[in-house]
Amino acid sequence: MRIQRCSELRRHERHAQDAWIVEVFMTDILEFLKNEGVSADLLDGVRAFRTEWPAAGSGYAQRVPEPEYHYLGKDVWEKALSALLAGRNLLLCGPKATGKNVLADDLAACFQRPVWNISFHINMDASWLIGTDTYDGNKVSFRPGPVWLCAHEGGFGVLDEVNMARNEALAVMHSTLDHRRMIDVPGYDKIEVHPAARFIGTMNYGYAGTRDLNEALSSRFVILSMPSISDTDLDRLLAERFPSMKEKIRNQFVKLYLEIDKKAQNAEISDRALDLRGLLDALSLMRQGIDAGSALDMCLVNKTFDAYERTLIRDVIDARIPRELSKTEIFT
Amino acid sequence: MIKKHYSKASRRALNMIWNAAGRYDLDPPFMAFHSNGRPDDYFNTIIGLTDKWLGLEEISAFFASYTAHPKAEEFDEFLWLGLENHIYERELLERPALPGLRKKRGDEFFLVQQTMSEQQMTMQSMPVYRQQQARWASVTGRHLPLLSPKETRMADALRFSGDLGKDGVLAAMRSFLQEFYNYDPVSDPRVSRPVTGFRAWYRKLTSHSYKQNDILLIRTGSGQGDPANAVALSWEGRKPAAPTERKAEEDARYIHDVFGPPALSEEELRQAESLLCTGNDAGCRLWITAPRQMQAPDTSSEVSGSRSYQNEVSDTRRRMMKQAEHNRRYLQDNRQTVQSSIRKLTSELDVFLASFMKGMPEQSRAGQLLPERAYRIDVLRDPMVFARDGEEKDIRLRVDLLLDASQSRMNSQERIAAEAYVIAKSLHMNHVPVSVTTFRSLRGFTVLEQLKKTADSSCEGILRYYAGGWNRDGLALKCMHYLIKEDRQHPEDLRLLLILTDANPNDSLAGSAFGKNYDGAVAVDDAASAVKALRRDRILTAAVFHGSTSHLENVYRIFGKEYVRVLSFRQFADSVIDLLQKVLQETG
Repeated sequence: MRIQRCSELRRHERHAQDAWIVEVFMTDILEFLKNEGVSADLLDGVRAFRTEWPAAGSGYAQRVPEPEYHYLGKDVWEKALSALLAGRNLLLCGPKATGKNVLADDLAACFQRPVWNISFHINMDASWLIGTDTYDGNKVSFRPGPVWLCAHEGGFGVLDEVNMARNEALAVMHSTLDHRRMIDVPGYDKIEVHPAARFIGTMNYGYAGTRDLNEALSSRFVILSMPSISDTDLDRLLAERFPSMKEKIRNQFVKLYLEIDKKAQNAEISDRALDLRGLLDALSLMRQGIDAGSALDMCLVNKTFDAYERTLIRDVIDARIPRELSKTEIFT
Repeated sequence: MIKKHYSKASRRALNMIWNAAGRYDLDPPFMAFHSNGRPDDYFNTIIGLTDKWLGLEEISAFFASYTAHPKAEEFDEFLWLGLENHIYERELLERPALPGLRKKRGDEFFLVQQTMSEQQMTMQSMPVYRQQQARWASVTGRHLPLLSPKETRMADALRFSGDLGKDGVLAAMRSFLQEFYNYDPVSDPRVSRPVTGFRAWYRKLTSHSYKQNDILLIRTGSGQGDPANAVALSWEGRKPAAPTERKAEEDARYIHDVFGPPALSEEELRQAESLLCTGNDAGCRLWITAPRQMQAPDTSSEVSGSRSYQNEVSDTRRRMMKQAEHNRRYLQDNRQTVQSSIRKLTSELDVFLASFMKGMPEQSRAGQLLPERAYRIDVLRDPMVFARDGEEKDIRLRVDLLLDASQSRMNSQERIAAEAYVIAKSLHMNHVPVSVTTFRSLRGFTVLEQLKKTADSSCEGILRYYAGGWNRDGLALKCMHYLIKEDRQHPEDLRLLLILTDANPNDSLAGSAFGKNYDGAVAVDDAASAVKALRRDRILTAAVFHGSTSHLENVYRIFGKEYVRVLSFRQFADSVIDLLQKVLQETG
């Protein structure tokens, strides 16, 4: 997994009067993908899709995401784009901090489609997804759910942590996800799923509360296994996100993150503290002048609520990053 | 489910070592602690880094080579000081935080020194202390202590250079002992020989002065100048022998050699025994082991004792391995039945657990319209005419499977292993944490041997089931009760203890202080009261019974209605799901 902050692709940092002045030039995601080496045929396919289904026509243009980060990884991009261009739905599987949601948002941005983010949970049921009866003061009417809206408007439905819900609750989506591409709402109407609509599921095996996705549902997705971030990619990400960070120090933060990752993989700690966004946030705080120990406490250590686990994480940090490390020691 | 061998502090020390070593399969021979139990972060990091740079195996082998020497612990101290310098120099470039950690460690040493009483000073090994003083003074930039020419040479020799390779470090360690103690572990006839008998007694007498120092190996402080806050590098496995009678010692050694080391520390075992081995079980001992790899039957090299004793242990282990093979073959031969039982039990459990956790429907303002209440909209302006699913109950079930592994199960070992495998696999596939433990009694010990830990994803360990010994059901149940209560990590989980039994408790040791045998009504009543105690603590307890009809009354007396009788493997899945439904539904 490789995430890059796109708003900083052409970022110039100038230090003046203790303030960071940032000039941001937004780049089109297709330009970024071209630079990443993604196949020109696929990019042409995306352009054709955009022309055929312009976001402006959907009525939900404000839902088209403008992601802060871009997923880096040519292979994963090409696989995901191919699946979506072929009209398939995508299931992104992988452990925490592999960029599943970043990629899902990036894909919607790439195809310029509005997004409905649907966070799955144990009490999710069919009516929550599709819609439910309600009383509007005059009559009983149908209140559409996010899946119905997404299917109707041709959006990208991000089914976040799809395996947190019970399989029975998800059975209602079978006809939406397979070749039938329709939703039949009992007592109301049957709608066809918009040709531009796609569903992108994300899931993480092994979280407490997760279940195995049953065959019926998983067969309706193309499944993409998301790789964990490598040290090279993480180093690249930090270098691009914090160009003024000293290389020697950057290297220590990369190793620190990988050490926490290893500890979580070996089940010595939960993966709550394995938070890439948290690490980036911590570095941002350090750039604001907070010492390394406090910043890492706020953004990584305190993510876990178990006191003993916090001690273990702090031990890893202390063995690598001095608590009192200051902004001037980290950044040039 | 068995409480981890390591305390929280040990686990933390291990984590420091694993983190520095970059591997989590390491079983380090040393861990560094302050005497108040706080792990020493700097030295634990050094121990982990020693594995990274040198590999701990060979270094450990060197440390192990002189354990018979009276000054072994003093040598440990010196050599770790040497290693500290070597590792520091090697790691420095890769870990810029290391100088800060090292300096902090040095400052702590001197804080403790300031507040140390004269008595404490006399209790420690002065040669070691002088070298530590010299090392930490140079690290923290303090004035160096006045050293004799020999001490200066020692300090220089203990500055193992970072340029040395593994062989160089080992040579430096050996040369230090040769030069300053005229001692060569390679030529020492005592090497690797356990210290026993007269030699042990003699050593105890002669090493008395140093014994007082054994927690003062490396001194440091809490940062508060606390003189009691000394630090010890603890050598895992070097434990003092308990003052027990010879017979008891022999029995304990036999149990250890056959079943492996206990999962609990000696202190924890004693505590458990003092709590549990009372009343009918007075005089009994406990032995609780964690899952282990099947070991080679040839134990002659690792088991000390007479040839006949070695053969006996070796023979027992060989039989255990053979039985594991039989269990595996049985599973293979009946794979269709086993697989279909797993499928059936898994799917039925899935449906049952989902409905078990599902809440009752409740009225709401949105959801499925309830026609019989629809009039309320117009008449009463009441919008609560819809039904929605109730909130799912957050019930986390954990199952502990306890298998009777006494001699009476001899003829159905393969089947019991297969049944336990089916239950564990089905629960595991439904994400229900499950542990599997066997119990038997032997030579006065009630042995609980864990075949599968809750965290294990594989159920293969269950195939190591074998039958042999007696069964003191009451004590085994009390022991499981104790372990479940000790498992404080998941206090809110719903616990189910499922026992595969023939309901025929029977032990060679007497069942009371008056010498009644532990069998028949005494044993059954004892087991029944243990089950009652479990249920009083809201631990659901049920039994899968496959014994003779003559023991049906026993199983009823012990478990009440919460049991199911299994006559054939084919009806096994149905019987178990019926039992689970019955037991869980009663919890409401």
